[in-house]
Amino acid sequence: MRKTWVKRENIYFKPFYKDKSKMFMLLIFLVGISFIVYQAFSLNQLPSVQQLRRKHKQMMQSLGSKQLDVDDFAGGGNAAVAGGGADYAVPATQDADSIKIIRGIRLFDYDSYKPNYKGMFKCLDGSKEIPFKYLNDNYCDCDGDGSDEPSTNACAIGRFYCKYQKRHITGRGLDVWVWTSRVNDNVCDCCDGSDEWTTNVKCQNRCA
Amino acid sequence: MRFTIIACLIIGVLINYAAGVDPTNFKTCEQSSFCRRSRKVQSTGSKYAIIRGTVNTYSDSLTADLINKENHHQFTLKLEALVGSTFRLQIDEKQPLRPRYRVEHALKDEPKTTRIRVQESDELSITVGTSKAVIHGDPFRIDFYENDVLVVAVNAKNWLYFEHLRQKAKAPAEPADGGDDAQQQQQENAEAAQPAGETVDDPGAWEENFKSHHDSKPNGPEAVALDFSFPATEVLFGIPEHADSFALKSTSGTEPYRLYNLDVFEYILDSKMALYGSVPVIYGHGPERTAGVYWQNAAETWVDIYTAETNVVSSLVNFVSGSRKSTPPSAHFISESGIVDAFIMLGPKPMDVFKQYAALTGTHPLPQLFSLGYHQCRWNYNDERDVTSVSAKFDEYNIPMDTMWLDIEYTNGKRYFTWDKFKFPEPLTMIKNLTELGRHLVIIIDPHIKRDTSYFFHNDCTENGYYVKTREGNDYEGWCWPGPASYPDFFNPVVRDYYASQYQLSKFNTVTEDVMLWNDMNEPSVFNGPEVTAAKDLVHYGNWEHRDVHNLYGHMNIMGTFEGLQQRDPNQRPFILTRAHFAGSQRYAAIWTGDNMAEWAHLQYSIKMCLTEAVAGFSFCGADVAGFFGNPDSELVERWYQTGAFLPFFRAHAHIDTKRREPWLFSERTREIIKEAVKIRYSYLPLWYTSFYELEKTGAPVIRPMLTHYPLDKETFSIDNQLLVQQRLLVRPVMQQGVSKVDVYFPAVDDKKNGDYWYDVETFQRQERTGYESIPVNEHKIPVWQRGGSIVPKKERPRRASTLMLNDPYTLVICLDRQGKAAGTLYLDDEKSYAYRDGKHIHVNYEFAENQLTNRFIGKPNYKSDAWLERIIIAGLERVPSSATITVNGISQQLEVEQRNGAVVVRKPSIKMDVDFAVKLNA
Repeated sequence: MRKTWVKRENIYFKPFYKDKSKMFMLLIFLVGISFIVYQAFSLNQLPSVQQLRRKHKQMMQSLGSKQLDVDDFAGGGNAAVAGGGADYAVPATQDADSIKIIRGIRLFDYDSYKPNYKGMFKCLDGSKEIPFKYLNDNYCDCDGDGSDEPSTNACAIGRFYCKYQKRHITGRGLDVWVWTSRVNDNVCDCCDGSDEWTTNVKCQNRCA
Repeated sequence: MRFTIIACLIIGVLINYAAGVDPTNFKTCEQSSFCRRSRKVQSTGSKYAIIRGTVNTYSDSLTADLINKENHHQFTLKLEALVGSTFRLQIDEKQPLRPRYRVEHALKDEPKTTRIRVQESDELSITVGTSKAVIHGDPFRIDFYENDVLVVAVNAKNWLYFEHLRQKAKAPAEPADGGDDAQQQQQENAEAAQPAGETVDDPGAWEENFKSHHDSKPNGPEAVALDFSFPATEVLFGIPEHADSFALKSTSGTEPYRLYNLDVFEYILDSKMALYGSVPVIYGHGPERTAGVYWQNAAETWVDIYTAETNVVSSLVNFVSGSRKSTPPSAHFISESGIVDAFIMLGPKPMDVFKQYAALTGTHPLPQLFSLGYHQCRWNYNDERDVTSVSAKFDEYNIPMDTMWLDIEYTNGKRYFTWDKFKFPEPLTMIKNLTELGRHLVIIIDPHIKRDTSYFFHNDCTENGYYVKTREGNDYEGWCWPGPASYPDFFNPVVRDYYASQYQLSKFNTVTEDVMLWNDMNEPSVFNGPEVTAAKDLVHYGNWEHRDVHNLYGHMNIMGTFEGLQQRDPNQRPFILTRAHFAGSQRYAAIWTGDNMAEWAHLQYSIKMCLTEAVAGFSFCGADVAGFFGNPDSELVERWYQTGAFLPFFRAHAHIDTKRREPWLFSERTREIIKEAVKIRYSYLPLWYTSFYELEKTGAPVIRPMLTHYPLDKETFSIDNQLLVQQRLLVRPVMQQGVSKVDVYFPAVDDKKNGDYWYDVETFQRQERTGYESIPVNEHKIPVWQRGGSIVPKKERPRRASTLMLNDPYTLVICLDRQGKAAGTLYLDDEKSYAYRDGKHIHVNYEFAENQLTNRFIGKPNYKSDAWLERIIIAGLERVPSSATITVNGISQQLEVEQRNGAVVVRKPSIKMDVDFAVKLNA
């Protein structure tokens, strides 16, 4: 007997809802729609355009000017018994509304320099967790990468990102940094002199 | 004609330079008439006796007349007792034809004498405290006792040999050509004319030829020689500078050690040949006693050493016969002219003798901190841009560096005090660029002055007669880097003042007061002179022959430089590097071991040579890192940096014909290893600085041979491949190619094999056993241990230059001994000025006992420093404490404690350096 080839679909009819791939797509579509609808309810929580502009302006200002606002010479750390070794701590209470860039870090790491859920700071190489008050207290705790002392020269290795960062408008460009061993060593290394912030050296602005 | 001679000379010099050192260019004892003559006495002996009835005793000294019983010539003897178990013995002719030269400027100042007690029984003896000198009249001999143990015997072998000055016998009418005939005639004539014993039976007595050089000896024979035995000792060391082992070898049957400042090109190792410096001080050491002799004589000197050979056969013989070696080690000093002027230092411990010697000739004053950092040198950094870019490269690769050096090519045609206008048009700008980074510049100024009528220095010297003169009274003209050159007579105080005044910024206004100095070629080096130095019959100030003062020439040169730098800036400590040196030069300058080679063996000898220099007063010593001649492979470079980081003077230097070898020109691995080594050096700078302060204060060498602190352990006597930094670090750098482990000797403190604990400074792993230990090493490892019981101050924040570390905080590393105790000092000041001499400094002793660290100030802490204590590391605790408590002025505060690779770290005591405190560890 001669066999003839017959297409399967022609033999069994398959309704739309039994096609799994199509149903899956539909499911995703519906979930998406419901998410958007859900989001629409929280639209009013977004800041206004004015607020955004203000915040952006603050950020730009703090990048381009001396960041004296974040230097808290008195607070934090274990205040030295006899005054030895100034503590340069980040203010423990961060004003939620204003953006403060810790001296010597880059924007990229901005979020890493916030206390984690335990109120601790985790070294950027992940090697160690230290109390947040040890950040920038002029004592090196993250021996591996020096990340707990971005503003001081306490760590043998580590980078200090200069305040002036020359960037293309698209954000591209290399980070401008110096070794933390150059911080406060009486020699102006950053073109804006931002690495000399406790010494009395008068740095000229050589950023062009 | 003249031009061809010059051309030949240049070619000759070049050929010589291509071939390396040829030992036949330098004299052997046999070729040197006075050495030959004086050495003869070793077989015949001499007969000297004190003339009865001539002994006079004074409150602090004793004089007597001495007679040579063979020729009846008379001498005077003076034996003085000095403060600190030291005696000074001087023997001169009673009535010399002309005065004989007495060394000046070598001693720090006139040594202080002390009262003696005289006892006359069989022998005459004088006593001071526990030391005693017993004088034997016939044969003449003096025995020196320390606590009733005979430690030094003078003339025990009867090798005193003193050639009195004499008139030259009238020469026959006019000696015919041909030296031998004439000399023979002369001798016959002399023998006929003078009574027996008046002649010196040697063809070289009145004139001498070596190679093509003629030495007219107008004063004839005038050698002095004397032997010193060290009965209580087993090993002799000292008399730098030789490229030889630390322990001196017996010279019987071979060449004696030679002390004659010479510019030896590509010197050979394991050799008794003379090198750039001469320090005639020798020490004898045994388990019970150490003693020394400083033979103050600036003329050419040979030293014969006799030590009992300690080979297997002799020790077997000794064992069988059950006897101690019969002949004690001894040294026979033979000098060409001058008088016998010997200082006998009686110890009794090694450190006592080193301090006794330092009390005589002084110590290196505390240097500026920057000079203990890393120095980058090369012959030559070509121009201003080269200097600036090398400095910038060190920053780029983040390798600390303190000083850039300029060799001879910076000058305008080797005219010192001038600059090459094309390569260095604006030296002041270049210097400013360096000093702005906290760095310094060191430039070279050599003593050979170009004979050029358009050169002010030459003109001044010619007009005023400042040059060293020939016998005929003309300015001596030699050949050196500038071509025809003359040599200022630094023995003349007027010349020294003139030379010093040239450093005034008003005169030498193309440098600043921060530019420091390098005096090279000051042996003096004369390319066309006999043995590459000046002729012996030249005439110096005071009508002294060059023969009398040769070894002092470099010393007088740096005295002038030191004076100049102090006048230039009275409040800044000068830094000078010199190649030639004599006893006492350490008061003015650091030294390096000269033109070594880029070979593994030379790396090994850098430690041996610097250890010998250190016990002879020159703690500030180093070798050209990676070798002056030749191109080192990267492994040798790595190991040499690791070794150099633990010698006091740390400078990389290279010959003009070698490939450039700044750290970044090697592979990344090598660059990283160099960086690590330099950073380790910088972290230990507080220890080096403290050591140098304590050197100035007490005379205790900064680097020390093992036997200094382990005198009972006989194994240490011959160890010269490891060294101690003070009594705190034991350094045994890797100095062999391709090794994966090194044998380190951990010394015993007694004869029962008890020793200190030693902690690896990296891992804090503890060595508890004494004896040889095989230590595995990789390419990064510098085998260094800290002694249990010591506290070492460090600064663990590396900067690009040490001057920028002034206010950086300190770390204390405490390594505990068997009792759980430790102690150590720290010194700090402004690191630059002389204010520390007015007490503007902090010198503190830290003590750790019973889980508590306390400090005690030595003197008043009178310096305001912004530095503070950031970390205390404690190794060897039995259990980890939970926390620590710091107490200052009755106020206490908790400190956190953490563990860091085998040690406990007390976090941030935050204490100023001039405050009393106590840190207690809580269980």
